[in-house]
This record gives sequence, structure tokens and C-alpha cells, in this order.
Amino acid sequence: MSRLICQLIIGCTLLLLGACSDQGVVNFRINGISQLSLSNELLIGANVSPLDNFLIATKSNDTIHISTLTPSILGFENIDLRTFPKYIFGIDKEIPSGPYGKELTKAIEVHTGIYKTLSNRIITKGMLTLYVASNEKDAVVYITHKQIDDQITLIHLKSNKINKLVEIIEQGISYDGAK
Amino acid sequence: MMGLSREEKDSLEAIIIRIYGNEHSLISVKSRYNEYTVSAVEDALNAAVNCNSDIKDLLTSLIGGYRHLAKNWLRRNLRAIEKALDSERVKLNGFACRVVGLSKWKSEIIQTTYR
Repeated sequence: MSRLICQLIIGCTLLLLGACSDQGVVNFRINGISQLSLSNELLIGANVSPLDNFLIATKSNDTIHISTLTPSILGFENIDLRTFPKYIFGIDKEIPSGPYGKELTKAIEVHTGIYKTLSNRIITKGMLTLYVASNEKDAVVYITHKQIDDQITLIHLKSNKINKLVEIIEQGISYDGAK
Repeated sequence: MMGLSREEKDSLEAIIIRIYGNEHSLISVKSRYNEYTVSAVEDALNAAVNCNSDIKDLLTSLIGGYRHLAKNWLRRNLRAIEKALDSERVKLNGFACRVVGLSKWKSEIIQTTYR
């Protein structure tokens, strides 16, 4: 009975989010560049809150917090956001000059202070590139789209089994439904 | 620990707005703020010490040294921190701290409102 109630709650939440369930998978359209597919099993008993885009807190206390970054959120217009994670992950070392470059330098320092540099991974999925960094219980995923320069997806994950959750996200992310 | 008073919730809301801006999802749950929310915001401010020198200076001057902060320092200093953050002296505008450093604490804050 409680399982049925949970499924009903999830169903209502999904209606609110405009998502749909198909073959045991729920598809969340995050923004214009990425969609996340999660299994019903992971979502049973979860709390879903609107937080920027949204926050999913599973029954086992794992959290998936998804937001969208734009140039105006960063406070700098006319920047190509596709390069942002490349700087943060130390792939592109030629930091631009001026206030944006100064803030980037600080951001790199903050990022490397939180996540282990050795954990950095870059995964390409069609038009999308995922930049993943983690530590023992937290992970961050930046997602860029090859053709879109003014929007990136930012996902924060927290779990006692962080590698497993990262794997779920990596598998579940796609562009516009096309895996 | 007891629940938060109206004044404590007001101060906590003001602090959250200073850190994250006027974000509806964090502000709309104000009535459900509790001692765990204070603790999550405290963790965010502790993390801010590593990315914002203004916060570091603030905590040093108000509480006498961030390195020696005992847990629950924020609840005891809510009003003082609110007033200090309200002054123009503390700037939290840069994305390095606000986005890269502190956005991961947003989920922690909202989760506490389920407790």
C-alpha cells in the first residue's frame, strides 16, 4: 500500500515537472541542453523540490541538485560558457585577462580545494560534454553542449556511494531525449 | 535544541539572501527553517571562509577567529551576522565563491526543511 502511495506521489510530482515515465525510467528535462533519465526505483520515496531547476533527495538520502548557469548568473555577459569548465578543470590554462580571468583564477582555486584533481573525468556523449569531479561524498558535474555557448548545466551530487550515483547520472544524461 | 523564533527565522532568511540572492526556493520555505537549517547555513559560511576574505575577516572580528569556531556558533550570533552581512563591507558577488564554492550547500539547506 505504501509503495502504491509513493508511486502516486511520484506520478503527481512528474506531472508537475512535465516529465513522463516509460519502461521504468523517468525523464527530467533540465533545460535547453540536457535531459536526465532516472529509474523509478531510485525515485520511489524521494522528495523533489524546486531549487533553481530542482533537487531530488532519494529515500536513502542521496541528493541530486540540478541548476543552469548562464553568463548573467556568473555576472559576466558575452562569455562563451562552453569554456568555463575547461578552465575550472585546468584543461585550458590560458586564463583571459581582466575581471573575468581574475574571478576564474579564484574559482579554480575554490574548485580544487573541494574536489580531488585526480578524480577529474571528461566524458563525451553526442553533443554533450560532461566534466566530473568528486571527493568522498560529493561530486560536481558540468555539462556543456557543443553548439550552445550561453548555458551550461551544473549538477551537485551527494551520497555515501558517490561513485555509484555519478555513474547513474553519467548514464542518465542525454540531449533532448537522444541517448 | 529548541525551534527557531520568528526573529531568528528573519535573520536566517536575511543571511541566506545575502549568500544566494533572493532565491524563491530557499526563501519560500522560511516557515520551515529550523535548527538544522541554521547548522546547514553555518556550514556554508564556514565553507565561504575558504573562498571569501570578507567572510573570513567578518568571522574573525565577530567571533574571535574562525579556526576555533565551535559548532552552533551561528545560532548564537544570528543577529550579529545578519547585521554585518547587511553592511557594504562584506561582498559576496563573485561567482568563484557563490557558484563554484557555495552552491552545493543549497541542497543541504533545503533538505533541512523536511526535518
